[in-house]
Amino acid sequence: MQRLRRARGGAPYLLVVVVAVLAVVVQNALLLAAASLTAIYGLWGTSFNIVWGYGGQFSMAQVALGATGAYTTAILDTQFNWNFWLALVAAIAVGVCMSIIIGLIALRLTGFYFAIMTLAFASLLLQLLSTWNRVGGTTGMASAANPGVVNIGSVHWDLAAKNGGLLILAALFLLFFLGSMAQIERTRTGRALSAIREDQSLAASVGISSLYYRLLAFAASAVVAVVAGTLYSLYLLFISPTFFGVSVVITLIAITVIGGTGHKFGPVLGAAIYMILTQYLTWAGTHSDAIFGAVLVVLILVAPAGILGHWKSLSRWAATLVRSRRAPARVPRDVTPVGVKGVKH
Amino acid sequence: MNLFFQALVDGIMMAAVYALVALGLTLVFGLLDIVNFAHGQMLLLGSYLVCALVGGSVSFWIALPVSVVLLGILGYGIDFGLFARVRSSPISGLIISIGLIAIFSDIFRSIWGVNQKTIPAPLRTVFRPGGLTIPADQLIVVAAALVVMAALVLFLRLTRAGISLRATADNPEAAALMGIPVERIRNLAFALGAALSGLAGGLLAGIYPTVPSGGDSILVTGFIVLILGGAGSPLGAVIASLVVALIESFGAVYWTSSAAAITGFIVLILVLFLRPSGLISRSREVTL
Repeated sequence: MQRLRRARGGAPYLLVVVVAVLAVVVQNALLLAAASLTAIYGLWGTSFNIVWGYGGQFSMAQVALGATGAYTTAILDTQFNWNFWLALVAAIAVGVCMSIIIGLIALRLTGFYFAIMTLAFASLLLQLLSTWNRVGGTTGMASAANPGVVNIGSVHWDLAAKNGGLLILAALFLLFFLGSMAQIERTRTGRALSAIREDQSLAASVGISSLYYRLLAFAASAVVAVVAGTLYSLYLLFISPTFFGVSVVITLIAITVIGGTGHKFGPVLGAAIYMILTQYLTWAGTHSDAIFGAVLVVLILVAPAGILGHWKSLSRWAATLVRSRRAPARVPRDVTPVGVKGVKH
Repeated sequence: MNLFFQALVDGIMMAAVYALVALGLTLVFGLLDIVNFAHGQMLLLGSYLVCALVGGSVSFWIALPVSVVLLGILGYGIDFGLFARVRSSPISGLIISIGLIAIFSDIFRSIWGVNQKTIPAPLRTVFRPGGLTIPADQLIVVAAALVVMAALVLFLRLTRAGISLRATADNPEAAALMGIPVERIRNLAFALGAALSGLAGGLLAGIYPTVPSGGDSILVTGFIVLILGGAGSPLGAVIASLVVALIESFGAVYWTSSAAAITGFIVLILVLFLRPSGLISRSREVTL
């Protein structure tokens, strides 16, 4: 029984692996692009999910943190000839430092004020990037970073290649971070975070330092955001401040809310839906923003917990649907009598 | 010296626009606890409507009030249909407004394309007192803003709806007990905010070209003004818009415009950090 339960918990991980392998084997360009972007946006959404879904802070700086990662690796790689992985570690360090600075200033605030403060930092960073000549200003710069080629016998695996290398790299990062989140959830830190999210003052009254844990969540989210932003720059090959603007912020919020805020796999599911919509439906591709905006608005009104948040009731509903189709003549026993509706209890 | 006065004149003109934007934001925030991120898109809609009407050979002076009224109706509908349903959870309201940004900008792109739209200046007269250039339409913007602000103050002080509005902002429960239809007042406040953004957008369309990205930058400035002036304080919004607009115009003249923008963000961060309740505000409780 226990093994069964564990296997069920592993099913989403398995699904990620299966989709990634399938895309690499089939070698369909569209599927590869959609799967790579799903993994990248899934990661990016995960960073937002960590700070909001787990930490309870509505951060609008995740995209700017991703831009920090993309630009740091690009500069170190193209202008100082650093090794990609060394540059990525440096970028993570820069991103974490930045998140701590922003966090120490912004985490005194909550709600809207925190959201606007993070938005101010994000706008400031983008403005600085677009005036900095070294990174090409508003024109942007090439992100000629290369994570390298893995050679196993006769198999050459280029980690930046669009024919599957980048996808496998992104999927591995995704599995690693989601697995780490699953581990952290069970520790004292994870429990402290959920306590703070539920009731900050109650958590403080039992000795949980709210600022410390929220700062920790913000820094952890920065690590994921930097990796996501860097992978995104590998996908784009060329970066400019416009790639990290408000529309990406909106997309990240939308995929997280649609998938299910506070659920590990929520952003990945949301990203998959977004990519299926935008990559496969041409009409939806040109109007992807509007469609996703509309889905976001409707979802907040009718099902604010997202797909995974309503998973139990959704699957129960699906089960009854299947059952009723199989046995249409069966009448449920506890039918409410007609006319009871208006009666007050 | 000439440059100085020119910057001053430009600054005052922009301050009038920002004040209209910030007044709308502050009205909505004070009454509904929603920071409406879609406010910039509403302003842009006002600009586009005026452009479209003027392009269809309607006079600017008719197009402007038409767009104000349409925006007001739209605002009432949006609040009634969407925001009213998530009153208990302000962050949901914020997410809805973010979704609205995406919808609006897509619609704008589909209808009006990505290129900038310009309309002929509503007034071609240019005053030149002592070497300065003051286009008459800039004066119109300032005059319109002043008139509207005065009307707003009178509305809030003297009319029954205005007094109900202030009562609702002060204490919704008590207002409801006094028989004020709180929900309808909130819808009205949102409609007023939207109408103000429509006015600001329409006026801007007469001076600057309308571009699809115009909503974003003005929204960020609107937030800076809102926070600087103290959320929910109309007088603070007016003073803060003067401060921000003058920083911008003087920065653009004596420095670079991006340096001025960076200064604006830093000022916002500092104010949020040091005095989240705003520089000029009545004692309003802020969740810290």
